[in-house]
Amino acid sequence: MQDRPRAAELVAAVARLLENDVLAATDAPLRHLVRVAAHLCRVVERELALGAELELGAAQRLREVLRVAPDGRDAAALAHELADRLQADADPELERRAWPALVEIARGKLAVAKPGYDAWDFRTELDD
Amino acid sequence: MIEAVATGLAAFLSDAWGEAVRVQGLRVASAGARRHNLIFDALRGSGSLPLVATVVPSQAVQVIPVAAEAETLRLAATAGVPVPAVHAVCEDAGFAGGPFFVTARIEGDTIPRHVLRRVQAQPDLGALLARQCGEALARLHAADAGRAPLALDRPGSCPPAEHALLRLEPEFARLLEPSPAFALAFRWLARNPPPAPAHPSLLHGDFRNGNLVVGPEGLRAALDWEVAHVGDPMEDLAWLCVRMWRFGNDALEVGGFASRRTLRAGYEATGGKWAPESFHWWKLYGHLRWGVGLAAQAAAFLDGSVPSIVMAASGRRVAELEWDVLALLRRAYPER
Repeated sequence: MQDRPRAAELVAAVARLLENDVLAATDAPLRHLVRVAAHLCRVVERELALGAELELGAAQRLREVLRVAPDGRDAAALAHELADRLQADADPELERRAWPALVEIARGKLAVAKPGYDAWDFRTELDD
Repeated sequence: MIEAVATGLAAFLSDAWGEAVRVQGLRVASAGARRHNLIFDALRGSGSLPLVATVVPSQAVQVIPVAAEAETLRLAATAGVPVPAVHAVCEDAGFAGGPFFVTARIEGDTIPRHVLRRVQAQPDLGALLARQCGEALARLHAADAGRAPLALDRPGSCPPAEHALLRLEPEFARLLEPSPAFALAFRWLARNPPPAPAHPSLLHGDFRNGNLVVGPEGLRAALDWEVAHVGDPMEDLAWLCVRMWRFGNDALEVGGFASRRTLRAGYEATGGKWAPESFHWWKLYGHLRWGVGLAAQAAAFLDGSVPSIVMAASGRRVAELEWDVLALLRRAYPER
């Protein structure tokens, strides 16, 4: 157990400092790096809020695609196995199960890394 | 440091041009991670020339030798593509801290957000620019690829699409965290190669918002020819339509400034043959290649070889490209 502020509150405070005071006092070319640093603090803040639930959901989806029972592996390990299997052989049924699951997992990652990015889905660009 | 480079450039240019040359106002123009673009004015008897020296500081970051890039620029100019004129080439690293070539300095916007701001302020500019991009690429692709410098990558007897995947494969195999989304895209590309083009063409290789000099009258020049190669012309056109060059203007497929229809019209009006199936293949390939590249940047951060926070951030941009390739594959995996 730790005292308040919590990790997400601390990293949000660092983000605010970078976004306001530090940026205002910084010249190019360092400005870009300060913006990146502030952005990464916001990523960490969102990950602290959403990460655990997204991890469980991703692991569950990957187990369904791979058709394996919970065996203690995390989502990264399951994703590794799925990548290897997709790479290794043409298994159309596996690919069909994988696509919608991977779309949802990508949405989850974007909720942390870049909220709103999934609003554009290329639908209008797929025709000739 | 910059003084020594100014002295070196002046010495080299004086010798190359056979007259006394002074270098004035030398400064670093772009914070390119790999190459340095140095802006300066060359003063000589007949007046002042605004120039840029592109210096390759180490062999490790060199894609093609400076002489080959300069030769490619000359070929493109002959073909009618707007490019800066080449004024000198120096393969001796002793003058400016690395081999370099010197080109004319063309004023205008190159930073993508500045280009998009200009387009927003000038209603017809986006369509004009896309049309000019199509025209420029059609002229480039009509050039005799047999005259391309030998140092340029070329597919040989292999179809260009297959060649491109072969080149991507080792990078793909080195990913720290194998991505199932990228694996799905890679397998789809390998199983569905587009028809090979009638003739492989000379390609720019990185023709996109960011490497274009833009003014009120549109396209002034295409810069950065270091990844020029021989391949399928649709690769250049599709690369220009990859989402990351839109900088948030997602509905405008061409660099965030125009529709694909306008680009295509310019390309076809100048004799280019548009191949829709190939376009879609190369567009997916472009997104995949960028995604693999971002993951490689994160790996370079994590192993300490490039300890930059930008490289760290690249790792968390991989999800964007996973989203993009999955969305582009939507029709291959219809939702049930």
